[in-house]
Amino acid sequence: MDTQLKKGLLEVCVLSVLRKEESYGYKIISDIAPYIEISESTLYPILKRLESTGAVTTRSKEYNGRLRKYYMITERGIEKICEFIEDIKEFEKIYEFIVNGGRR
Amino acid sequence: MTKYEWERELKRHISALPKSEQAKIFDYYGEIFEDKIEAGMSESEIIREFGNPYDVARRILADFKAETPEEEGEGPEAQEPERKMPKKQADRIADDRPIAPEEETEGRKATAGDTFSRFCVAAVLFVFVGIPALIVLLCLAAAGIALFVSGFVMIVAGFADFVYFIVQICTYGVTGAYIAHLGIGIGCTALGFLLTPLFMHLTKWLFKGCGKIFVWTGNFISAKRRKK
Repeated sequence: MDTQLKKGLLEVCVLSVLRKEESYGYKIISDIAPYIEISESTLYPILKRLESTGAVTTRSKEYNGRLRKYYMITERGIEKICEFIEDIKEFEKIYEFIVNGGRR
Repeated sequence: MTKYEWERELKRHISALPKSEQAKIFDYYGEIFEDKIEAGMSESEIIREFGNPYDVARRILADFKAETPEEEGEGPEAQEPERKMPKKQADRIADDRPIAPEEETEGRKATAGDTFSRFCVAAVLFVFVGIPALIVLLCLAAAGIALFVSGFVMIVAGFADFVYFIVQICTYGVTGAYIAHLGIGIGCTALGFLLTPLFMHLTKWLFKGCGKIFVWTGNFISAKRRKK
């Protein structure tokens, strides 16, 4: 898959996971992995970007005697998911057009 | 490869990133490592999944390069030396040439006292070093001009001498002294022609030398100011 496209998709996937509940690195990967290929090194820049654009916030919580970084979705993040759903609707029309070989 | 080896290898490749950024990366991978151990995976398995530290570093650096803005303001850099990395450096790392250990740049705000003491030092330096240096430079310049002019003067004077004594001979008749003067005149002119190129060269060299001194001094001062 095209890397830019995949990056965009993964961002929304991460946000969707977080919409359910706050989560941490390993769990995010485990939740997304069945649907789209993701690795630790792919997730890192995505989380960083989501955090810097204000789509998620973070907090450190103690777990089993060590610190875990939890990610939480913000209003801005939820907006992003909605925007993506709108975009996909647009894509659907284009998809139809493409698979029909340019005919209506 | 053990976790320790993997981290050491990764650290080597991302050493040019700001310290705070490096710490975040190690926290991130460390946390996932612990979670995977608790999920029952073995160390070697986890490290294999993490992938080659070199590739991981390349991704991080490429991402960092993409996120670093092209334009660098002068102001905030001093207050936030950690966050920013010069674009050039990011380029260099991403291109994966040998990474030089980055020097810690510590910006320090100058206090009023600092500025005053620096001003005093500058004033003393100006009086005892700046003025004599300026005089020396002016003298050198004068010497250069004098050399340049002297070549031409020699030609002109020699020629004038020659012409004058021709007139003398025509007026008063030939004498030994007049003939000698003719010779002197011709010799002087010839010598002038011979020496002029040399003098011009010397003058050029002198002026160039002065220019170099100015440039060097300028660089020295501005470098000092940047370092503070």
